[in-house]
Amino acid sequence: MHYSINNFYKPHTTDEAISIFEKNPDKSVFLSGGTNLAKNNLSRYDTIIDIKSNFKSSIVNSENFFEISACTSLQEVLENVDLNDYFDGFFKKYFQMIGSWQIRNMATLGGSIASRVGWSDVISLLLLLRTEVKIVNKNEKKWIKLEDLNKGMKKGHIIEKIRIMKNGSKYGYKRFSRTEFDIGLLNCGVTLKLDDNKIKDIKVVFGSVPVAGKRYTEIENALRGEEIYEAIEISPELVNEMFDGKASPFISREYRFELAKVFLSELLMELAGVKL
Amino acid sequence: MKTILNINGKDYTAEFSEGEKLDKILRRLGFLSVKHSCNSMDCGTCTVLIDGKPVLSCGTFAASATGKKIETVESLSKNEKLHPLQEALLEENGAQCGFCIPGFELTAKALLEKIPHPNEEEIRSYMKGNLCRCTGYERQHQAIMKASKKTGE
Repeated sequence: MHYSINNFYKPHTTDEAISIFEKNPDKSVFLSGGTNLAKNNLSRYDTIIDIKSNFKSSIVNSENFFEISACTSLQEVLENVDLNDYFDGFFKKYFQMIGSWQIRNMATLGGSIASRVGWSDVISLLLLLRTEVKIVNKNEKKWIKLEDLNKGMKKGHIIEKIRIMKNGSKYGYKRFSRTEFDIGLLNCGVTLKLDDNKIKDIKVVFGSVPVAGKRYTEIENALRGEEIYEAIEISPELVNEMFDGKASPFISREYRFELAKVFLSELLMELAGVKL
Repeated sequence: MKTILNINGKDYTAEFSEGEKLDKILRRLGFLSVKHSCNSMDCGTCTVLIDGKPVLSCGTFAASATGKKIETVESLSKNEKLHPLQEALLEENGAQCGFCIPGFELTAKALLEKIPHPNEEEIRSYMKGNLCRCTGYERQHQAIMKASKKTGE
C-alpha cells in the first residue's frame, strides 16, 4: 500500500488531467496502466492521475500513418489486424515477447514510452519504425520524433497519441533474457532497405544497456552504402567501437558486447536473406 | 475512499486507501482465491478478470477498478457445478498444491473465450504469465485442451 497517496483522479480528457496535475505538480503522478508505477516507491507523491481508465483506446489507419491513442494497451496493438497486415506481422511477432498476456492487457503504449525504462522492448521496437509522439502540457501540444523524446518530454507532459509512419522497409528484432518471460538484458533491432545488394538505408537500435533503447547513428552511417556482405563482415568491429553497453547485476559488459555483435550480424543476414 | 466494486456480477461497498492495490481489497472482501504472492507482477497468482481481460491485481490500483466488472475464480462454478475447465483440471491431475490454480483458471477461461480451440503453442504463449512450481505445466495444458473440447461440444 502507498500510504502517502490521498487523491486518486480519473479524468476524462487530457486538459482535465493536466489541470489536476498543475494544482500540485511536485506531488502528482500520471498513471497509464501502472506496470511500472505500481512497483515504484510512491512516497513522494500524494496524487495519482489515472489517464487510462476513462480514455478511449483507438488505432486509426490513415493514408500515410497509423495513429494510436496513448492509452491503447500493448495487447490491442499486438492484435490489430491493419497494423500487422501493413508491417508484415511485426507487432504480433515482437510484442508477444513483452511480458505476459496480463501485463500486455495492463500496460499502454503511451505509458510504456513515457516511463523510458532501460529494459523496455516497446521503445526499441518503435524506434525501428518511424514513430512520432504527440506530447501535451499546459502550454503546448506538439509532435516530436520518438528519438527526441528525452529532449522534448519534460515533467508535466502527457503523451496523447503515437503515430507510426508507413514505409516499405524490412525489420528484424532480437532480445536476450534469462527466461522468456523476464525483462530483456539486451535487445537489438535493425531496419534495412537494400538497393542492388547495397545498404540504401538502415536503422540500428540497441536497448537495455541499461538506458532505454536508442538508435546508433554512427553505426548506421558506417554501414550505409556498404555492400551487404561487407556490412555483415565489419559489423562486429563497429559494435566494438561504437556500442556503449554497460555491465549490470545480471550481465557483464563483455557478454553484452558479444551478444550485440552476434545480434547485429545475424539480423543483417536474416533481413538480407543471406545464409551462413 | 468508499466506493462500489462490481465483483462476480454483484456490487460490494468497499472502503480503501487511494494507494491500495486490488488484490488486498478483494481478499479483505472475502475473495481469498486471489493470492497475494510475489507482489511484483511476476507470478500470476493474483490474476483476476477485469471487463473479461486477465490482469494482475497486485499491480492494479483498486481505485482504477471502480466502474468495471471484476471476476474472481469464485464466479466459475455455478449451482455447485464446476466449470468445464475445473473438471478438466481435476481429471487431468492438473493441480497439486493448488496455489496457482485460481489465477491459472481465470487466464485459461479468458483464453478459451478468446480462442475456443487453442493449439499447444497458443496455450503456452497465453499462459506463460501464470507460474506453477509443482506440475511442470504439461497436465495443465492438457486440461485446457480437454476443456476446449468440452466447451466446444
